Amino acid sequence: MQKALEGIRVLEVGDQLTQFAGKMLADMGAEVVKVESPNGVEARHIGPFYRDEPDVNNSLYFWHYNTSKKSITLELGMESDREKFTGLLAQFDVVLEDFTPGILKEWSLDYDTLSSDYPELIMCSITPFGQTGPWSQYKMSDLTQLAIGGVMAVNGYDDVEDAPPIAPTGGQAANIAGYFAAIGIVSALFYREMGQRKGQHIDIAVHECVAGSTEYSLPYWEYQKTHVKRHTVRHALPNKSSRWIFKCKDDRYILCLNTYLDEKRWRELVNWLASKGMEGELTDERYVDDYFRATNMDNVCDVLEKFCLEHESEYIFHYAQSINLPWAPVRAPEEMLQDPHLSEDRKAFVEVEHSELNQSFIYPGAPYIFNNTPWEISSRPPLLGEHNDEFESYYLKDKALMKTSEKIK
Amino acid sequence: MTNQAEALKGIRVLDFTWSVSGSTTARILAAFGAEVIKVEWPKTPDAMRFSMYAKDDEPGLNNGAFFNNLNAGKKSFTVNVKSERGMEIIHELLKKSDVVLENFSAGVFKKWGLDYKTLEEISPGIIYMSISGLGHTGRHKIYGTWGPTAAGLNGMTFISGMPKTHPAGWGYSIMDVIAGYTGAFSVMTALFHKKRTGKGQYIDISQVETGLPLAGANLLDFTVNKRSSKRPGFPPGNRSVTSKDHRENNYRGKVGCPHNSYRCAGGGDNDWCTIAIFSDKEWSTFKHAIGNPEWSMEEKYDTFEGRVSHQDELDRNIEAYTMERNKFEVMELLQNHGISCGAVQMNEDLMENDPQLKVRGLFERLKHPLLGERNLIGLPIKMSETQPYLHKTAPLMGEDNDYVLSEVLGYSKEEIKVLDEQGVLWPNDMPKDEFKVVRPLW
Repeated sequence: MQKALEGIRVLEVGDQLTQFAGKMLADMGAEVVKVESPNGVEARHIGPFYRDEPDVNNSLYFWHYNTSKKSITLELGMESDREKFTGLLAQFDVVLEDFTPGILKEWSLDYDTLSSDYPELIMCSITPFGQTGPWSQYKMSDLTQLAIGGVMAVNGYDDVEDAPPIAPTGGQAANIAGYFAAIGIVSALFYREMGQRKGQHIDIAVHECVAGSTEYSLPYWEYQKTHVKRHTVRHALPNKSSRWIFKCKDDRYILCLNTYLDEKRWRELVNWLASKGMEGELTDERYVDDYFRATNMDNVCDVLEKFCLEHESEYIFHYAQSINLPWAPVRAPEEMLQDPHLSEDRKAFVEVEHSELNQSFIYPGAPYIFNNTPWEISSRPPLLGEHNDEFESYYLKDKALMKTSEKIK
Repeated sequence: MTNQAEALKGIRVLDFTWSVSGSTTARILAAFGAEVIKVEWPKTPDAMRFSMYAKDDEPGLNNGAFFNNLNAGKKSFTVNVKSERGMEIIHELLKKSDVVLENFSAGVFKKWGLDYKTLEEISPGIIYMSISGLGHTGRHKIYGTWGPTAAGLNGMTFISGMPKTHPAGWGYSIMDVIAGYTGAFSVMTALFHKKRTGKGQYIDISQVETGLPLAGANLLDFTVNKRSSKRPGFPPGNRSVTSKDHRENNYRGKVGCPHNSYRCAGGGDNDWCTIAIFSDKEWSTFKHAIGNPEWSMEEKYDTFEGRVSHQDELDRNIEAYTMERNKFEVMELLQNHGISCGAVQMNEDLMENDPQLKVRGLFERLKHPLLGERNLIGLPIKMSETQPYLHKTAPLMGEDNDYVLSEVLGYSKEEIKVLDEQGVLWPNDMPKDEFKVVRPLW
């Protein structure tokens, strides 16, 4: 079966900001070749590691983001290796990079320089703040990016005293930027296919990607000139909303969303609570009225809190869903593996063979199911420089090709 | 900007999405130049039309403030899909569309007679993308999920918070946002495939599954190393290492110490900054930057091990310093020394003062007939040939009915008049200007 991005070749001269976009392209069929320094990209030196043993080929952080890719090593600080790199360009469609602004120009590998020789080339640069602007040389990290981009201001607690704004784990700033880079690259490929075969430069700033991804926060300033307050697991809003996280009998937490409760759902909820003798005052008919219920939601919460403490989270989840309440337990990521809907029916996890270790491991699977060109991890993440030999012959072939084309001119 | 080439010029998207996730996908496609026709019905409007209003505005169907940002660049066509004539018109539109989007609960589109097989028969080569909570297949496909539900189910809520207490989760529907971006990438990819092969695609997106790549290292630590996230010290608040007894990586990337949020002068909810230091060299630069205070000179802080062992004390000392200073002052000082430090910026900071966003022009100023000139959030993608931009504000309900019927489908004025009289384009029993909502969602 043909892959959606089959035949598209990407040189990923990047590390932690490019790796997710590179993975998105690679898992859809593009040939993505990571160009690394002989020590490997920094991601290879970041844990967690396989068996907690640090090694350039053992980083699980690297593994996750570099599936389906190849790896070659070049020292771009050296002119001879830069020549090898430019020698590859004729055969590649996309360069994906995350160097500090200015470095590629020093090496004459910036878009303006390369595009004169390779007008069809698409180059995508992902940097913390973009190629321009007063903060473009600021030093970033995931935490700082989430602070400055406005995610932390809306994430946190209204029921834990003195709690700071919270930055979620998982490297989410780079993740969010990855989507926009991948969208931009494929749009440029599409445009290039339209006729003129014209490449272009795509400049992605993580800061802008994060700043534009917090839903209501910015509109509240634009339209009401109000700040928003942090609410535990709920939307940050100007006014305090009612809590919806409760502890269950099995110590797991559950989210009991109280929005979109129509009369039918409300009556079924009260019947359910009543069947356990835990309805409290909620049988009062006034609660059927949306406005009355909204203004007395704290009473509803008190009843739900007691109810949840007496019941297992899985029971509450499935029963609530059976009466159309969009409630859910707070699962640890690994608990998805035990959900047969995900693991069996949807095949949301895939086994990837690591021949170098004689072992297979479970990886997170497809974020979308394409019927004609399915997502696939086509190979495990590459060992450092694993494909050097394959491309060594390219450099030679390219030189030969260049000589031939010079003759034709 | 309007003279610039557009990547998706000539692509038509028939858009049945509502709420946040699907609408985000459609918004992105519109910014790339696709013609997005949002199909609506006044009696069952997109809840985002009344989810939040401008200060002092009377709640109405056409002045939703959040809606304006979320649906920028789209056209609106009202038609009763539950009527036979209405569905005929939808079929005609499908024939003239490249993409059809929906984010209803699983089964709704099928009930309308619009499963992928039928769509492909009506419009060969069409790309059908659907976003639902748990996908179109599987034992729990009918389960209802809103953004927060999906984040609960895929671990995104769990991975955000302080140790030893309940999770903080996210202050917005992160999975709606992520599913929207995922949808846009998937459609873009399918369009590219179609361009090269003529073949369409059925893309079944589960909002829960769009979170699979977002906690990847965390999941692999479990599947490979059997290390559970349900361990003391995880999630680690804003730290990178919780304590010397728990040296696990907490999946933020590089490990550092100090690595935390610190209160700054002012005492407000957002008078905080973050500082992240990743090497002994950076630690020594940091000490110098804050004037080598006596406490910082203690030998125990010289190594990573030492700093982690005394992290509580270290953080208290740093906070005593930051508490005396404005968050931006701290950020500027430390950044001038090459230390990763950021002010916790709130909405006002980002929209009014952020010099970087100003220079880069993230916000686009556009005029809406009821809301006036407003700053809308542009696409964070700068492209030298095909720069995406928002084109226009969100559409009024049914604003483009004439365009869709006459220009796209070639209906005459008389034919349109008949449809109008039959109540196919607007409910006969509902005056166009009398929509009222009981209370906004938020």
